[in-house]
Amino acid sequence: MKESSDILLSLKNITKNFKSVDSSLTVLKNLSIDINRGEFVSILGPSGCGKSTLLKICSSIIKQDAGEVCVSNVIVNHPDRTRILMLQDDNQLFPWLTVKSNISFAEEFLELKRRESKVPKLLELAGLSEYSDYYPHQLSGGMKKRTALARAFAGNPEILLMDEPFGSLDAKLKIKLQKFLLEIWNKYRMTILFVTHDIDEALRLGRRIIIMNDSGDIICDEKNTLPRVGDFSEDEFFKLYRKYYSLLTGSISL
Amino acid sequence: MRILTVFSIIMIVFSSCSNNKSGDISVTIADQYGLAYAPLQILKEKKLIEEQIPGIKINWVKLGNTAAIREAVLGGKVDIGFMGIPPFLIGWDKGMEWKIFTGLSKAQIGLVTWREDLNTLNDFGPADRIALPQPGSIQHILLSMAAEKYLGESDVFDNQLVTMKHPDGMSALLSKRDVAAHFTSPPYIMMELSEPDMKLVVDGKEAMGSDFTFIAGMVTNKFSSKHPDVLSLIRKSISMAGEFIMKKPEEAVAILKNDYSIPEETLFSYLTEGGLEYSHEVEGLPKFINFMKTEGYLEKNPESMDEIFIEQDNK
Amino acid sequence: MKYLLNRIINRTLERFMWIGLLILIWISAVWIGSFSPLVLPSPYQVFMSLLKGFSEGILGKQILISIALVFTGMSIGTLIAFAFLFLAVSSRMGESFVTTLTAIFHPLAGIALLPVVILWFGTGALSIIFIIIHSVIWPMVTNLLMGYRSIPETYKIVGRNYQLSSFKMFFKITLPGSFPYILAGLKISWARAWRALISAEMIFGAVFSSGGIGWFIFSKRVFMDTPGMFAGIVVVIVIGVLIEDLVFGVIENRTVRRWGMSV
Repeated sequence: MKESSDILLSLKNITKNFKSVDSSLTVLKNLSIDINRGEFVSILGPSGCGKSTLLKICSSIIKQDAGEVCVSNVIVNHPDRTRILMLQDDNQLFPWLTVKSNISFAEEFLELKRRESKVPKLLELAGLSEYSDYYPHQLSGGMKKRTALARAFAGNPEILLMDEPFGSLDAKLKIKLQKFLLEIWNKYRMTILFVTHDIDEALRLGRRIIIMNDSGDIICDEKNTLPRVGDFSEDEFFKLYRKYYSLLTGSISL
Repeated sequence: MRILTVFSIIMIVFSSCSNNKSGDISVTIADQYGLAYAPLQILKEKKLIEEQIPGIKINWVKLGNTAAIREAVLGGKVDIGFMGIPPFLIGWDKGMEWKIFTGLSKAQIGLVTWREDLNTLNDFGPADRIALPQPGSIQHILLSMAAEKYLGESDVFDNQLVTMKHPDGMSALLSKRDVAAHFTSPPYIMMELSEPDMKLVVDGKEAMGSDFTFIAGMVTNKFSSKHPDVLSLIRKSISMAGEFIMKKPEEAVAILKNDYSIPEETLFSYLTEGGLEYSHEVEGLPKFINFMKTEGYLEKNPESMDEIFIEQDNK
Repeated sequence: MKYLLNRIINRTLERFMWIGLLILIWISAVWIGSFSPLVLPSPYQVFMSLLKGFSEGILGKQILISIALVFTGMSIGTLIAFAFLFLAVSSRMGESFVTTLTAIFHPLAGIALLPVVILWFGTGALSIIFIIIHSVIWPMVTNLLMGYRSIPETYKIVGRNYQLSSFKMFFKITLPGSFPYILAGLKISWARAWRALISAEMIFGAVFSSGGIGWFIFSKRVFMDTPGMFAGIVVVIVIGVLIEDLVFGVIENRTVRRWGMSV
């Protein structure tokens, strides 16, 4: 199932419980995954299955109750710039910074020289060069998302953890942004974990598909057999689509 | 239309009724706290005015300070007020239509200090704060008189004054901090001087050069022209109250004691030996006028005493 | 920038229009009512008093003193408020301590504390500054806390993701993130401080040998110089409006408005 190349991110027996006043909900139980360097992984699952929690644990934004998170075989406990989390939130950008400053926020810690900055390039790729001095509140939803993406890329992360980033956008915009994402990935080849509930999106983006059920278990983890570019026959697409669809729906306990 | 006429007639009849001497005359009197105002308290208790003028309605008003009384008089809310001569003169100078109609009390007032190094006015430096009720008060004017007498300039201390009511001034003085001296009057001056380390630096009489009336009574021209007889009787009642205190101090103390948290014997000694004198005579008026005009506190000089003083008719 | 300037000019013109109207009403009242100048002086008399105050030299100095006092008090008060904020967000005990303190002291008018303040701090500038600090701290702390709590969790997550130190977190995220509330707090504190200052000055007299505007107004009052008193009041109002418009207005435009963040 996995290609034999080097493993960058490794989750070992991750368990996470959420406690409330009188009950305890186990979201993730003994979950283990290995992600290779440069992989683009789509994670599918029904709402509430724990995919967001999984991402947050991967970035160490929240702590697991049991198990370890390892990067390049080193255990990590705290968030760091090499693992950037991109949330669902519409309001990730800092309203008091311009588009340009928001993006370069990520670069501040890299101690780059001016000419090494990726910001102008990213602005161009994102189609935001004209808007570099605008403030987030002046932007449309799509433009905000593009800025957030650009910021995520600007810090040269090794691992990008994306939690349904295109969830609230319309189809046309989604496609545009998916294209943008793929372009960047092709260029910089960082490792991406992309959470979505949209099978279509998962198939178009991820090279590897992981499906979770609503108890937080992984019920499918395989390579995406569709070719990346060019035409793939609708047949192949729908065959996979139906397969994953039934896996997903079958995994929902009513 | 007819109803309106009837209504108007009724109103006119009622309004003319209020001018009746035995009818409803009302007068608003503003007084202040302190032993210098004691006759007023006696008046109130023993209802001396009501005895003289049956049916009169008296509104007693206590306002925070002299300036407030002046403003209330100006606004037509108060007919008769009691204060020192200088604040009265300032009001008159600015066009207030009122006059002095009686003296109330004379007292020993002066500048008290806790500082060993301050023995004369010369010793005061610019950082030595002096507390007194307000600029333009009799305390301020007497201080200025003393300054002019001993230092040659009357406004030397104007930039180191702190406005404080007597009780606050006393606390500040007793706490021995940056208030170096307090220009005050009875009973505070006695209370302060009875504390160790306190001494009198300036005595009012000394500064003035002669005896003077501390607190006098003022009346609006409007009231005095409308009710001259009533005014006379009020003056008489005040006189009677003053005499009462001087002649029967024990009884006076019994009436006054509730207003002060001072033991009765002490209160008695203040009344009898504290230098307080209750008299309807008004003394020191020309001297105050002269000084204040010369030093620029007043712009006008009264052309005759009638402008500022209602002499009492022979009793 | 031009846009900004236009806004300020428009706002100022509007202000002048209303002020002009009020002055007209004032003039009519004086004319119709034939009030004694002791009760309601005419705008002309007040204006002459203003000129007199400035030409005699002392009013200018008093204005400077008042502004210096309020500025000092506000600066110290704001710093202390931030210290309280720090305390309140660092632990639960800290929070309950700060909120209890606020509940006790916020409703207390500064002037009510006067006798205590005199006993502890004397009768000089120190007491005035203390009263100003008291007027400033409690509304400021309240707003700072609200501001802190209003910061979306997302910003903080981004901050942690980029490994910001507490120091950087505070200056790069917390401060700008809660800025609308900080600004609101400053505006309220300024109004309270200015009020408290004038009242305190009336009592504390001639600090720094001439006192402030409050003392100017009080002196005019006791000497029954009503036009002078009104002149002092006019100065108080003008300074209040200037600070509102020129200082806070500009800050608001450059920050909160520009960023599209409003409370």
